[in-house]
Amino acid sequence: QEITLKVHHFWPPAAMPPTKILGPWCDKIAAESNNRMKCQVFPAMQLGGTPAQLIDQVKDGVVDIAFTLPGYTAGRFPVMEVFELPFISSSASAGSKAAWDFYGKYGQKEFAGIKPLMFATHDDGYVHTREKQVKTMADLKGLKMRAPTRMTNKLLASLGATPVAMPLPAVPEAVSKGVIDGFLLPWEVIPSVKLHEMVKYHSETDPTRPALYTALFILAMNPAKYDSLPADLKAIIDRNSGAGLSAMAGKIWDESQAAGRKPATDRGNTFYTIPGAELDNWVKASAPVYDEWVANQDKAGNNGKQMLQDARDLLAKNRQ
Amino acid sequence: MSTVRLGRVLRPLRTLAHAFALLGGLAAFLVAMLTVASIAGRVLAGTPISGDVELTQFGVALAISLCLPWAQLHGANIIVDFFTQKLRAPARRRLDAVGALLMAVFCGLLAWRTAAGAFSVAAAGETTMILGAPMWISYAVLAPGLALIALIALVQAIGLWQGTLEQPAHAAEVGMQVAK
Amino acid sequence: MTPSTLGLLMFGAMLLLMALRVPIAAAMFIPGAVGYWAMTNDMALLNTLKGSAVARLSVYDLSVIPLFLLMGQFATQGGLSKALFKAAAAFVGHVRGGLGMAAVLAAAAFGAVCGSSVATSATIAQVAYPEMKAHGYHGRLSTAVLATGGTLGILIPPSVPLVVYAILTEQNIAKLFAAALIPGLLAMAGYIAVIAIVCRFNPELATPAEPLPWNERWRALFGVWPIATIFVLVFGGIYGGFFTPTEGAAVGALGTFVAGIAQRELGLEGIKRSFLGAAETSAMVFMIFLGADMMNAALALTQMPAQLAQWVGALHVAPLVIVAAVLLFYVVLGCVMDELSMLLLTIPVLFRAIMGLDLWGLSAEHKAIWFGILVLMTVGIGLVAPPVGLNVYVVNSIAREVPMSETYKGVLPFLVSDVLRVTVLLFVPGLSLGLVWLLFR
Ligand code: NA
Ligand code: NA
Repeated sequence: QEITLKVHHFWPPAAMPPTKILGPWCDKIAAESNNRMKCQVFPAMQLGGTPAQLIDQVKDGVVDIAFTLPGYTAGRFPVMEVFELPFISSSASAGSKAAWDFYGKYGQKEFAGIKPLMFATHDDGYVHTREKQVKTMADLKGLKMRAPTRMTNKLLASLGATPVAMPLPAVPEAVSKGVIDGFLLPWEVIPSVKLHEMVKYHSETDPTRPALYTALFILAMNPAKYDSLPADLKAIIDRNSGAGLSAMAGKIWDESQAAGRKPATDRGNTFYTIPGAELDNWVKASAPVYDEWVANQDKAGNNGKQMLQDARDLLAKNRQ
Repeated sequence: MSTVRLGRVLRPLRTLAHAFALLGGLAAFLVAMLTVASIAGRVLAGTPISGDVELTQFGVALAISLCLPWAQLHGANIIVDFFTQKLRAPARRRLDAVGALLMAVFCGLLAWRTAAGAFSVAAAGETTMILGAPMWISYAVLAPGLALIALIALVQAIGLWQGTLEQPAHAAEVGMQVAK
Repeated sequence: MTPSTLGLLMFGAMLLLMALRVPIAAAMFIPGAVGYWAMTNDMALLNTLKGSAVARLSVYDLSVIPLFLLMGQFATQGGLSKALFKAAAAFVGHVRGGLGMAAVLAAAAFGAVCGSSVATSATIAQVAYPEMKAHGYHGRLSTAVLATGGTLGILIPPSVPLVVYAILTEQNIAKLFAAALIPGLLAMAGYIAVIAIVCRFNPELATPAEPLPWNERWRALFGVWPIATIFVLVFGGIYGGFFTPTEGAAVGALGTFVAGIAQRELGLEGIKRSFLGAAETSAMVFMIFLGADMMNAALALTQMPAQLAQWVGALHVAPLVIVAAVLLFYVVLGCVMDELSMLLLTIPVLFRAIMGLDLWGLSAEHKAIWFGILVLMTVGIGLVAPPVGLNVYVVNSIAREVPMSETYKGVLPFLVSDVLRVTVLLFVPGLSLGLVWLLFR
């Protein structure tokens, strides 16, 4: 019989992740199964709920597959949040591969009831500001910055900025009204919400150094749905998920960086690359964020320090 | 159920709905004050109130849920009466009973499921991003308003079917309330 | 059963329930839930409902709705609408039909701080109807003026349906508000012109009031300074780049509150009434949202919206004809449906199709804004068009001695001006987009 997989996500249909990652994946499983297994994709939260609720929708079987960010549900996936720590991941490729391996080692407990098909981090996140150029940590002092994740919220606070949380669609309005002075985002997202038109300054970080921040994505499947598949279809899912899919997604995210950056250069915005020597200060200042993560893992009965080291090692291994 | 007893059931519900609606209005007003304070903090001191967006979302959701029962009591939920104007009053009342029953099912389902959602989110340990407040609270506070509107609609459905209650004037009532 | 058949059944059941007096919110929810359940299973339905209420009620952008409603309530209870009508009547009351024109002017000014047409009709009718009656205005004219004038509550920003459109289409609320201003003023001018023309041909409909001496006119005008200040504060703040629409609404709510207290018009009783009034309208709006959410999720499952968008995209018809057909469809739908459920059910389906068309070579954003204004104007027609004109109900509940059929008769010439205006806006996008270009360069 024919299997239809209901796939739900929050992006508009033409955004990068659904067209470049999800779409080809769906085409591939359809082709390999001779169209016996197909996706039915529902973009833009068409089936209802909030992006934060996607993870429960896939867990509860409301949908079969969800493409979302574990970080939207703060506090729920603290182990995998290690990849959202500041200055840890250095490219989407390395981050994505490392995240998948780390999940195999430490993450399965917190994803009980969910079958991850892919983990991926996005391209390096940078600082974008409206009126004040950020060259040093001192420049961040007192700036109201939109934080995209719980970790960046903590990072900004420890760097001396005032973190503000708001949904992404609200950012253009907020930055144009001065409700916020800037935001942290990777290049891929910026043109899709025309944010390059709202700011003048972009502060990137030394490319040899780890990224200021990245966020973690997940393609998650309902385990009961997976179990209900006949063996050959299960094999198709297995073949097309896990380390391979994660690596491919990371590569696509890295490749999307240039296209996302171009509109800002075309517009003549001002760019600055924060040098490694200055970044050392930032890393030092963000130490409490690490300590907190380690302490929380220790409290949960894990060896936080060891886990952090493993995450670093995996990232280093995958960097080559 | 006799007329008297039904009236007796509805009276405390009305008092409760009235209190809920006033609280709901107050919650919305407090959100307005918080927002203005946050703007003032931003303009004068360069620091907005931390988590103001989260608090606004929470306060407004709470406010709306508390307002639902009052709207149902007053027949403020819009109905189309064009096609049934020629019907005799008892027939119309029966239709209104069915309408109230469907409202009760609708809101009862949402009340029950929202409470269940509170338990799921609590079990998962989800928090808000800036304030780190437990997420289950945002779910749990919506349940009382939804439960009360379901209860009121159910009592109305029974009363309308028996003929012991009259449907409050609809639609226009919205305007009257506004204008009084 | 194919999903499309099920989708049609759901839609049919919804219309049937609506016709049978089931509250619109439940008429959307129940068939939606049943259809969803039929296409999935009971656990999927129950689990999706776990998050529905939170997902709809805690949307940050939607918080402008209760805040703008609260602002309108404080303005009403604080006597600001009375001051507005008095000022307008002082200047134009002595013209033939002048009290009607004053009611339109007052409705437009009140609409500038109030986002709901029902609230605007009710408020202005409350102060203007007794005056018009005392001056021997024919019930047909006075109720029609108040019902159509009330639509200025949404045609002039802020506007609840425009906020809903902005959310559904992910457009900028401030830009949509800016785009609505000139068309809203055109609507006001059109209504005043209709009153003048109607009174010219039927002078017996209205008796002019005595002209007031100039010093009294100035005094009446001075009475509107609080509302004028709040208007400048709120919209100056939004367009001057000081705060977002949500923040503007909060400032406005607090501003009208303070003005009401300072004028000694708003007491504890008035505050309570404001809370209850805002409670009712907000609850009504969000109830419809909750019902429509279920229906829309179920319709999305049937894939009907995607198919319809594809079908429209493949039509070999001039794009403007398609837009005109959509608007005509809204007029028809608006006759029996309320404006919010109409928007919530159709925009997710039709918007994508419209955005795929080449319309006057507009950019995607400008196209979305221009279309939004057209939709808003058309929805405004539905508020007074027979048989289900919400504003007509509201006005007739205040002017109880005027039969509703009389009001509908009186509304007809105003509908002519509405249709003319929509046509002009269809062919001259600059009228909607001019201010957007100017303010958001
Ligand atoms: Na308005
Ligand atoms: Na109508």
